[in-house]
Amino acid sequence: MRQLLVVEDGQEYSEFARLFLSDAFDVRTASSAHEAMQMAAATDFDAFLFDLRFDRTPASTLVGDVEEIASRLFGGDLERALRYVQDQQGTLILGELRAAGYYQPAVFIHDFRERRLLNLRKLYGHVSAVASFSAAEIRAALGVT
Amino acid sequence: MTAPSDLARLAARLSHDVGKYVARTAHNVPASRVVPEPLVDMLLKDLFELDRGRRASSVFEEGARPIEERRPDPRLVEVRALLGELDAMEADMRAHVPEALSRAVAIALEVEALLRGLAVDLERSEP
Repeated sequence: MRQLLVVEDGQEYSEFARLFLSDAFDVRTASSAHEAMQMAAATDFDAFLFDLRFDRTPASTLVGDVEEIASRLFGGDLERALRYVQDQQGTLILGELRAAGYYQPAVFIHDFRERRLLNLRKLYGHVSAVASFSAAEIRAALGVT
Repeated sequence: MTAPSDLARLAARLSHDVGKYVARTAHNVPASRVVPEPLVDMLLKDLFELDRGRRASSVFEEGARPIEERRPDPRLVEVRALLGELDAMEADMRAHVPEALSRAVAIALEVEALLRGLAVDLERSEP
């Protein structure tokens, strides 16, 4: 059976995947970049399914250089930079996975603007997004017929 | 990489935290809007145990307040009314009354659409 790694900070995606994707995938879940990297090293996943926003995990588990982002985007405001890192954590974890050589297709359930999605594809290759939790659309994005 | 404005970020967060998750199950209910039994528990979670066990209306209020303080929007008023309607139907939904479940699906999809529209508009209008 194909292997799917769900990366999220809660349980909503994995609950959804168990109900709507378990006929096509063996579903595993990671709640941080560290866990995702460990699991990607241990299992040859066929695809990644990402949440975007991580505000339920400890800040210490987030990836992203808060000080650098604060300096570059927020005039040194660390609090705003941390919120930004939380809001974009899914893409930052994808960046870590890509940097480590894991190039599997990545699907976000998020209503990205087209320009943003194009930027993500330029940076990270095979990235797609589905605006809502539509099982039919997510299955199509994951290549399930 | 550019930083979104605070207002656009708040609206995007509200759309993510409430709109997307409140409609998680609703998107997968057949067009007849009759909710299959295996989906009822997940639908109830979406509406009444959304984030750390909180009801959607509570998560919405927390996220909508800082937006309304700066830019009131009729869509937020509309979403508040729709979520209030859901809260009033909770007992019927938990009793699996088909009409209540069908109405809840319609409301969930409407809430998602309204919050997404707000997020898109604020992203476009902010410098």
